[in-house]
Amino acid sequence: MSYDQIGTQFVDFYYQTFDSNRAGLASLYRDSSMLSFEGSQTAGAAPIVAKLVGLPFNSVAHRIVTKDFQPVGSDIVVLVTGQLLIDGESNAQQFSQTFYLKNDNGNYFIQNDVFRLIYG
Amino acid sequence: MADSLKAHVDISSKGADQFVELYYKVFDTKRSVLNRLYRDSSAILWNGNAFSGITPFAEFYNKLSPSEHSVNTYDCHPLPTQAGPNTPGSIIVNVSGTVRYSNEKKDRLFSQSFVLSPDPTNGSFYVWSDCFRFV
Repeated sequence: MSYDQIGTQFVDFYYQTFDSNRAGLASLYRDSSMLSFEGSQTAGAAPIVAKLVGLPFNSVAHRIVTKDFQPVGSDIVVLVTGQLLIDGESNAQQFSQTFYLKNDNGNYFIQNDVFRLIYG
Repeated sequence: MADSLKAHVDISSKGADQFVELYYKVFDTKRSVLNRLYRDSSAILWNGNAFSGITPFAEFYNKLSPSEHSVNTYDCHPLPTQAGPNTPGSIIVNVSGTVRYSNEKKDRLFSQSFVLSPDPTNGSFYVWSDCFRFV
């Protein structure tokens, strides 16, 4: 599979899982993973998943507008922009998210994850 | 282990601070030397347009109207590296902000991701990969 295809599969899975069951994201992070979520830093799979599961909303829906992928050696950098709707609100917020997907013997995991809301 | 991670994070943060400030200042006021921050090996995606290397990218950005970027936020992480404990490795930076082109009436929101690599000759960072998107 090309890095575009791997990246696309990954992004689709990530947001589907985030929107339906955030605890299911655990398989995507490892102990070396780092997350910056709106400026707050977390490291390690368990703390990261705890942080995401603990985010203070019941429902969330991501609508992806753009997805860009670039290879870095055998790893992949991803830039996603889109909108999110929280708890059935009608005003969507815009976000940008960067992932560094590390290749571990053909299996990719999220080594770095940076999420920011974008205010216009 | 924790100490060396903290050291990596600190070095990366300083590198990112310097790079972000420099990058947009050069883009806005001295675009003719922006190429120094890239290499022929740089991989660039500009709002969905791919450029392999600085030469085709420079041809493109030199045609853009004069710009004024305003950075709202940026985050950086050190990337895993085999470099020694006091040698900065590569870093990943995510920037969001607004940009006003002189031929347009309104600011545009943008999001930009960089993978920066250290230049072994002088310790500064150059762009390994660059992904820019209007939001």
